[in-house]
Amino acid sequence: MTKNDWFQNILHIHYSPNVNNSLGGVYINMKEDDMELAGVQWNHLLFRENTKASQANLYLMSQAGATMNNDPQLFTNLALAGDWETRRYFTSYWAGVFYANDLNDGEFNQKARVGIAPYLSNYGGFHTWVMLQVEHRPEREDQIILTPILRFFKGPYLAEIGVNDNGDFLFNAIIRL
Amino acid sequence: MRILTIVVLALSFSLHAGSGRSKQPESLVESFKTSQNSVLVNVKGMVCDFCAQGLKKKFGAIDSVSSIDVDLESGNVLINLKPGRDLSDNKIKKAVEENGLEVLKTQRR
Repeated sequence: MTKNDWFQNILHIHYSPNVNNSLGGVYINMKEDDMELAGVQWNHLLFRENTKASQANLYLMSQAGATMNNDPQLFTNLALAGDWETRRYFTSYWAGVFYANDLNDGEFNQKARVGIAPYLSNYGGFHTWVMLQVEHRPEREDQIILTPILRFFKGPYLAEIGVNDNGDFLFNAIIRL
Repeated sequence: MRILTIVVLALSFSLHAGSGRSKQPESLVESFKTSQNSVLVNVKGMVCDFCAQGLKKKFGAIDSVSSIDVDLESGNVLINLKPGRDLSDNKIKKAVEENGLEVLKTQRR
């Protein structure tokens, strides 16, 4: 999985031993802070509610590792993430706190998304979502950032492209093996 | 203007690509009705391809299974079994639940 936006570039490699847990490695290039990080990540499914037409999830996400420079500093990233989706509608919310010893004493940030599928494709088809992301970083100069996003997926491949209200590009991709 | 152009092009492409649908609900149920040895499982929470892929992978690894078809619209999974082989309700339930989904109903032929 890779996530790239105005703030950072992230590369994740994950393995899910079961439906409740996902373990992996993460590399983050925080462009805004000129900081590179490498560490491990554990995502845990806290709650799932299935209905005939929807699914809702609540995850605990955690990262820990070190900065990649001459004076490595420990970092942690803790987040709660929730989503609810049907085949037509999607909503999600993510809230996290980032801490890096001597470099960042705990920065809160949150994101929310709403999305709609303009058409419904069946299994194996080409799926499209039109989404709007709102990002809130209260400790940054530009506190609220809006990003319209198009999400496409087919089979094991998912890609997202977007441009935020400052004209910065977003590109996310997932390959699920 | 640049953003608008990208959005319009991408939407046009996706709408065109989306017109090539996969198997419709009726045909999956029809396949079940005409099959010799199969189980039709109605699954709760199967709302996207990624959920269905996990199920397909799980059932595909079971020796008695010959093929699997999925219909997201109805939430149905058609498990075609090899001739003379069986797959218990317990095994089906376990496989579905290990993917974080739930079985609503199973029908057999």
